[in-house]
Amino acid sequence: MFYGWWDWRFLSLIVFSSFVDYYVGIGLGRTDDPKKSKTLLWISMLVNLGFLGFFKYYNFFAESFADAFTLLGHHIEPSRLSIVLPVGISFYTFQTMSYSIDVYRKKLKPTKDIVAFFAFVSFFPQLVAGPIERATNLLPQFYKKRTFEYNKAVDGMRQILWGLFKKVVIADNAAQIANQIFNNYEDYSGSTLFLGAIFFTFQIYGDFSGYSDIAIGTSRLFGFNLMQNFAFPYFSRDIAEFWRRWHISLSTWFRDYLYIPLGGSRGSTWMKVRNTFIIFVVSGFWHGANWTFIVWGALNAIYFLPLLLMKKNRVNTDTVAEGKYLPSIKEFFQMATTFFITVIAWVFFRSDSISQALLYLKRMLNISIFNKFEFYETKIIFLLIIFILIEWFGRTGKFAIQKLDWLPFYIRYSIYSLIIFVILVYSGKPQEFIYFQF
Amino acid sequence: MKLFFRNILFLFLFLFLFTEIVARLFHISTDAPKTYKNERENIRYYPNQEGYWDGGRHKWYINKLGYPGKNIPKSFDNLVLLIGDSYIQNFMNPDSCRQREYLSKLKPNYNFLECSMAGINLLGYFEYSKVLDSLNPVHKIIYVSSSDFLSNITKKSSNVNGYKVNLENKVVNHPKYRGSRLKDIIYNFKFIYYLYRKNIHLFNELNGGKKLSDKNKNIAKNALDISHEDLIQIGDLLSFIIQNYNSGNVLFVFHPNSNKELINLTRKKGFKVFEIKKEKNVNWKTKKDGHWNCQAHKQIANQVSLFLETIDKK
Repeated sequence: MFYGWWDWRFLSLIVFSSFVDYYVGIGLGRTDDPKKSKTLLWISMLVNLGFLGFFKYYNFFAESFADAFTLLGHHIEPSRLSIVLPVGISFYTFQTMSYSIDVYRKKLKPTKDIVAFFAFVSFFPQLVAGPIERATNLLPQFYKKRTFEYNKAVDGMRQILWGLFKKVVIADNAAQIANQIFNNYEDYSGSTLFLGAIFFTFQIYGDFSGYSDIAIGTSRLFGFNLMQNFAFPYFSRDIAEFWRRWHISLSTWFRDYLYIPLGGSRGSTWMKVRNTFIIFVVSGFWHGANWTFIVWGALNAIYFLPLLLMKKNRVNTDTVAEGKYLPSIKEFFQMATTFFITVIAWVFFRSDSISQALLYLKRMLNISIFNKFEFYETKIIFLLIIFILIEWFGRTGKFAIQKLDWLPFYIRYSIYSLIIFVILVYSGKPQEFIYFQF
Repeated sequence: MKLFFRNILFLFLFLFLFTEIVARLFHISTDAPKTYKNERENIRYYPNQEGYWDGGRHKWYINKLGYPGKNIPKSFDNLVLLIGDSYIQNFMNPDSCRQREYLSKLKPNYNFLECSMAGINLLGYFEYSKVLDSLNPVHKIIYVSSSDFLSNITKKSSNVNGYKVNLENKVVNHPKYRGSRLKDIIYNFKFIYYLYRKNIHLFNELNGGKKLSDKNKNIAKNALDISHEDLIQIGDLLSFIIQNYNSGNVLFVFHPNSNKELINLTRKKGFKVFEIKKEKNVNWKTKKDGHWNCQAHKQIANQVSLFLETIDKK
C-alpha cells in the first residue's frame, strides 16, 4: 500500500520481482545440481537487472550508442522512450538479488514464508532509498514475534530526530546555496565555486544519511534492526576509510557480490587494478544513467588504487582520535585531504555533464579561489559548524546523538527541544531526497 | 509502552515550555500592535504601544496619537501629513528609517506627521485624514500605488481592510475588523504564532484560498492592467473624493512603475502628482517581504522633498 500510493502500476514490478526471487529461493533449496542452481540464479539476476536496465538505463544506452556512431562519422537517431523510473527500483532489486545469491551460496536457507519474504522486500522504512538490507540480517527478524522495547524505541526516536535535522536543516539549506551556485557557475569566482562544492558535499551527506537515520530509527520503533549506512564518512583519514563509512550497505553489497567473486584484492596487480575500477565504475553507474556518475566512480577508483597497491587500504580502521577531544595535526591533515578530494569528486556527481564539471573545476581551481566569497550565508555556515561539532563529538556512536542516556533528563529534553526548535525555525525550502531519483 | 508514550507527552509539554521561553526571549515572532474600531468605524491603533519586529532586530512604535512612529512633531504649524499603507507604516524597518524622520531633516521648515495603516486603500487614506483636518495641514502627501485605486471599486482585491464606495448611492462601506478569533488565541503563544505565520500559506490553501503568492501576483498584474472601464470608474471615484473630502491640499506620490494612464487621470482631476523614480540596479526591497528598505525610504524622501520644493515655488 505504501509503495502503491506513489503509483499503483509499479506495484506489479516489485511484486513480480519478489515472486521471482521467492520461487528462485525455493527452487535453489530443492536442488543440489550446480547447473540447475546456476540457471535459477541467472533467472533472478536477469529479471532484476533486466528491470533495472530497462527502466533506468535504456535511454542512456540508446543515446550513447547513437553518440558512438556519430564519433565514427555516421548519424543515427536514437529511439528514446518516455520511461518513468520506478521509485526504489535500484534498492529493492539489489535487495532481492542478495537473497537469491545468499541462498545459492548456502549462506541462507530459502524461506517458505511468502508473507515474511514480501515484507522483507517491501519493508516501508527502507524500501525507497535503503539501506540495502541483506536477507541474512533482515529476513529472520520477520519470523520472530517482536515485543515493544523501551530503549530501542527511544534510540529509534533519537535517530529519527537527528535524521530530520540532517535532512531539513542541513541538507535543504545547503541545497539552496549549492543549486544557486551550480546553476550559475559561470558567474562566480573560484572561492564561491569551492563554497558551492562544499555545500553540495554537505547537502548530499545530510540528505542521504538523514534519510537513512529516519529509516533506521523508524525500523527500531517497530523492533527491527537495520544495518548502519553511514559512519561519519567526512572524518575519514583516507579514501579507503571513506568508502568503509559512506553508503555502507551499497559498498558492502558490491564488495560481497561483485568484487570478491572477481578476485578482490588477490591476484596480479593488473587484476587488482581491474577489479577496483570495475567496482567503483559500476557503483557510480548504479547512481544514475549519466557519464558523470561513471567518471565520479572512476575518480574514486583512482583515489583508492594507490592505497590498495601499497597495501595501505586497511590502515585506518578505528575511530579517528578515539578517546580524545581533538585530532592530532597529522589526523587533521589526513581528514582535510580526504575531504578535499571527495569534494572534487562530488562536483562530477552534481554536474549535469562532464564538460560542465570540468569547467566548474577549471573555474574553481585557479587564483580566484582566494577571492572574497560572493555569498555570505552566515546562518547556514553557523549551522554547519555546529553540525560538524556535534557529529565530531558523537562520532563513537552509530549516530551523533545516540549516547545521551548519561545526561540528566532535563538536559536531554532540552537538547531534544532545541533540535526540534531548530528544525521548525531553520528548515530550508523543501527539497526532494536526492537518492529517491536513484 | 505506557512509559514511552508518557515520556513522549512529557517531552511535548517540555518542548512547548522550552520553545515558548526561547520565542519570547529572542522575539522570533513579530509583536502585533493592538487595534480597535473607533466611533467613525475606522480601525485604529491603541496609542503608546511598542513591540519587537521579526527576530527582535528593532522595535516598532505607536505614538500617543495612535499612529506608527515614535516621534510626533513638537508643533502642528506648517503641518504636512504623510499618509499611506504598510509601506509608510514601515514596521519592517527601524524607526530612524521613517519618511517623517528623513523629511524632517530635509525640510525643517515643515512639521511632518505620519498617519498610516497597513492594508488600507485610497478611500481609507481620506477617511483617516478626515480626523486630522482640524490640525489644518498645509499638505497631505498620500503615497499610493495603482492597486489602491482599483480595490475601492472592483473585486480585484480581497483586502478586508479596504474601504469600498457605492458610487450610485454614495455610501462608503468600512472594512471589517481584522483578524480571526483563532489568530487572536494563537497569538498568546508566541512560538505557535510564529509557526502559524511561517506556514500561513498552507492554512490559506487548506481553507480553499489561492496561494498568497498567487494572489499577490494577480493583484500586482492587475494593478498594471487597468481597463478603460476601470479608468472611467476611477475617474468617478476621484470626483466623489473631491466632492466629499478635503482634498485641495493633497499631493499624490505614486510608487515607481505605476500605471501611466492612472497618473494622468489623477493629474487631470486637479491633483498634484509625483511619481517616484527608481534606478534599475538599486535594491529597494527588504529581504523578507518586499517592502521598501531603509535605502529606498531615504531616496524616496529625497525625491519627495524636491517635489515639495517645486510645490512651494508655485
